[in-house]
Amino acid sequence: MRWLVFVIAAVIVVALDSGFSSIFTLRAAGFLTPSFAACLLAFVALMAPPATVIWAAWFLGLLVDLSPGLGEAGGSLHVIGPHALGFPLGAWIVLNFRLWMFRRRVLTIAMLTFLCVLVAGLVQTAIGILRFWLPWAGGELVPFGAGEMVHEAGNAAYSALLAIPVGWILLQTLPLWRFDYGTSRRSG
Amino acid sequence: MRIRSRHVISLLMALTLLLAVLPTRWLAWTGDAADIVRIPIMPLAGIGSRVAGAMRPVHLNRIQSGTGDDILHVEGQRDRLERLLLQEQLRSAELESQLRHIQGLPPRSRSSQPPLLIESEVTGRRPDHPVSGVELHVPADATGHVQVGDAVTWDGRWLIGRITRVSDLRISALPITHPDIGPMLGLLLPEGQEADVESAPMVLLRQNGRGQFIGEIDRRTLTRVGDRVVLADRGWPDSVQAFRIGRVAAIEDMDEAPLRKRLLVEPETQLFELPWVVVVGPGRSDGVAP
Repeated sequence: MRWLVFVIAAVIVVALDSGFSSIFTLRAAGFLTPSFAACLLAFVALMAPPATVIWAAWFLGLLVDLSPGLGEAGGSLHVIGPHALGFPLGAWIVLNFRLWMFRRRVLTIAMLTFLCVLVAGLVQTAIGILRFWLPWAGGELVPFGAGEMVHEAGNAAYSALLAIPVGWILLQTLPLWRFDYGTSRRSG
Repeated sequence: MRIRSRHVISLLMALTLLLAVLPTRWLAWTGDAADIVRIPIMPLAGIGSRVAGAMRPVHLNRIQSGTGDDILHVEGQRDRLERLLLQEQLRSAELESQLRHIQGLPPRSRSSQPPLLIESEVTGRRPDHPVSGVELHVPADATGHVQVGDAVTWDGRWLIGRITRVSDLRISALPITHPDIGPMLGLLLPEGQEADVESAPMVLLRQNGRGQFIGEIDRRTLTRVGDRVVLADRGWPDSVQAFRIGRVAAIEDMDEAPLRKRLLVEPETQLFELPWVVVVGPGRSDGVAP
């Protein structure tokens, strides 16, 4: 995989998430918002070699964690982990599933986007609970409950919908990425 | 080679997990890291935010001044309110000087400056949760004037957030509904009636972490769903007192305290919904005039 292409794509999707995605927010449905970053993650997790996928997922998660959002606390502290751990875990699950999937299908990207957002949401919830209860952590993240999980499932479903056009665009750029399919098939 | 790569990745994940549970006081560096990481992202995010703001503007319940008569009417009201404000300021200054004279205090060394009003574009946000923080652009003429603790307002009426960090590259703000902002004192004013500030009940509002406030009042207090809540908290700058915080969304009985009622107060707009905001800071001698 060409890392330069990935870094540029990562900057663009994080910028879309933190600037443009509010246009899609469903305010009456608990502020459900799709994630462009998860679409890119699912695309890369389907196509790139396994080790590259985990590194790319960690890098993308780090960018998301350092962006404005729920992980930000007073004094502009950013909790690193909700996405920097959640995205690699989601990507790892995709790596285990991708052998049985048609990789160049938009619907595959959409389905795996759902999975990535859901797993990232689970990790975010787990870290939120952990930080809330750990005596030294500060508990600056809001504690989560069952309602938050339903919310994350909604975000995942909405992101899967967004992944249909975004995935199609990403598939058109496939020659730019120079994915090494041989490696991914052998070791995936 | 493959085993080595796996070891490195495992180590990376373990380190990331460690970072995720670090004490808050050890996370100060993440603000600087975010400043650097956001350098290439901010300009693109700013464009996206502008496009989103233009395509999906915020709608609030407000009087639409469509015709010339409406504009004249509103301008007349504005002039009247300006006169009333000036009268009150003069009266207040007179009473203050009398009080200082009676108490034998020296005259105020710092003349009251008008508040600083700095318009700033929202360049980063994550709108999937109402308590998400936002990132603001640093206007060229605002360098050195915006400070931590300044209020974030919108449309001259709504108090929506507070500045939490200022760097050379960007400004971070949290919505007033974020638990880190802390409890706020508000004044309950009936909707649709002339406000009587002296008899209006005060309420201490605490953030519930879901983008709303919870407050408690005496059961005998006459309050209805839809009543306005305005800021009356000396912990905030004088210039944002009486700014609107939200509306009463629900009134519930409290089993554990039968003589009190619990109020659920909701802001009318969320910080992340806005394409731009106005930062209001206390007047400074070298400040920019509004």
